[in-house]
Amino acid sequence: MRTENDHVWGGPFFKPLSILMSLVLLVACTTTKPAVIDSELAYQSGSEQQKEGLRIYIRPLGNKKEIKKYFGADLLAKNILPIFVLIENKSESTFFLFEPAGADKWVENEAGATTGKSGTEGSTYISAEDAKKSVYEKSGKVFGLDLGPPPAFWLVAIPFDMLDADAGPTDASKSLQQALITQALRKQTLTPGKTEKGFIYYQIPEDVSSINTFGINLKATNIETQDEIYFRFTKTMDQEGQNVKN
Amino acid sequence: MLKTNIRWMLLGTGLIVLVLLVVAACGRFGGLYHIEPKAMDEFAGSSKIPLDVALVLDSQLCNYIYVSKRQHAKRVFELGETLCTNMKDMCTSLFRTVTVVSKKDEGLTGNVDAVIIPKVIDTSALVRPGAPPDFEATMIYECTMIDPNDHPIFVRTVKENKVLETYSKNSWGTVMQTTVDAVFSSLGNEVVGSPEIRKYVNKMN
Repeated sequence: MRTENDHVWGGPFFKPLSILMSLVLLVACTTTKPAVIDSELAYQSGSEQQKEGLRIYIRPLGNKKEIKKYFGADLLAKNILPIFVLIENKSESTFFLFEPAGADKWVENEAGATTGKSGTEGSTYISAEDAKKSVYEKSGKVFGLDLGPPPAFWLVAIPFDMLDADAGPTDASKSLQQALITQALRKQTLTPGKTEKGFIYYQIPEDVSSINTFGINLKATNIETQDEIYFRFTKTMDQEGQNVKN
Repeated sequence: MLKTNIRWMLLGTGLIVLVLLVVAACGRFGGLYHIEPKAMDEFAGSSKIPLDVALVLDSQLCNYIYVSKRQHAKRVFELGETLCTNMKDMCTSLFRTVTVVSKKDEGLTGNVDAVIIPKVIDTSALVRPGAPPDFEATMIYECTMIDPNDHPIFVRTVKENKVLETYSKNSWGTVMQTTVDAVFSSLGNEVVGSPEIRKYVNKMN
């Protein structure tokens, strides 16, 4: 037998509410932790150079699925190309300081190379900090829900500060920012026998069809002699699928 | 029928409570967290590195604050004072003498064997909701040691990422404190075990 009370508090109200709440619980603020850099990256087709006992292996991640694995988001859609770098100091007594090279340095050290930019045809090296800033997406959410512009009655119900347009980054944006920083290649002196790995980032233009090839330049400094060694790689980008040919 | 409705009513009420708790755990509420210095006694036993060093502790580092904003809630982490205290205590435990300066040039012109320059590269604090939620903090801290000619001797970038799987009143503060403590443990061990510093010491002597 159906009572008035059932009608108000029973199925018609609580059943859909329960389902709605379950959905809110699932989607309100979930983020997936990206995978840590594993050995898998170092054993796939990439490019390698060796100079003065230093081995450099690089592999641009042009595959969206792979990028999502390590960053939790499609970086190519945000015009950032992550490049995996592995450096191995195979020398017996030389210490190196390793870092991505700026455009000017490369021109300085590769005589005759007039197009020696760190990134050619529109792609440029950006630091992990700049990459982090470029993926910032502010959240307009209230209690985890994107409710759009607030209606007038909210002014009574919600504290004034919550109506501020910038609620902070979205969870996904914050997770991506953290991944960009933590997965980045760290600046280190590399002792003999030591290996270091991480990602460096290149900003690519919105219209990828304008890029055919781009250059990746890396610098190692022998910390005893202060001699600088440059490594230059040229890569081709697939104009259709944004894939990078290794 | 009535029993079914009561079940739905209980389930709905339970879910409302659960959602509110989870949203709270997602971090609606802000806070101020002061991170405390770490005791550097773990390096007390190791013999001191025979170098006189200048340690650059500038105002940018010593006043460093990290602000995390999420769904309008601001969490402010006061880190600078601790980063400078930890760095000073760590260097005092590890090197023969330590002179604190506020600029790199002051260190280079001083009568020292090396200059140490610490720098925060990045800090991050986030929550990954779940039951219980994961509170995560990351700090990337760079330490450079240069000789009086401004040439690098030693560079390390320490990265620490800690996760706390418990929701409590001070989860944010606890996870950041653990992260900062770990940064200095790692950095101290890197300095103690550094072949490049050993090589430089041999060269100096």
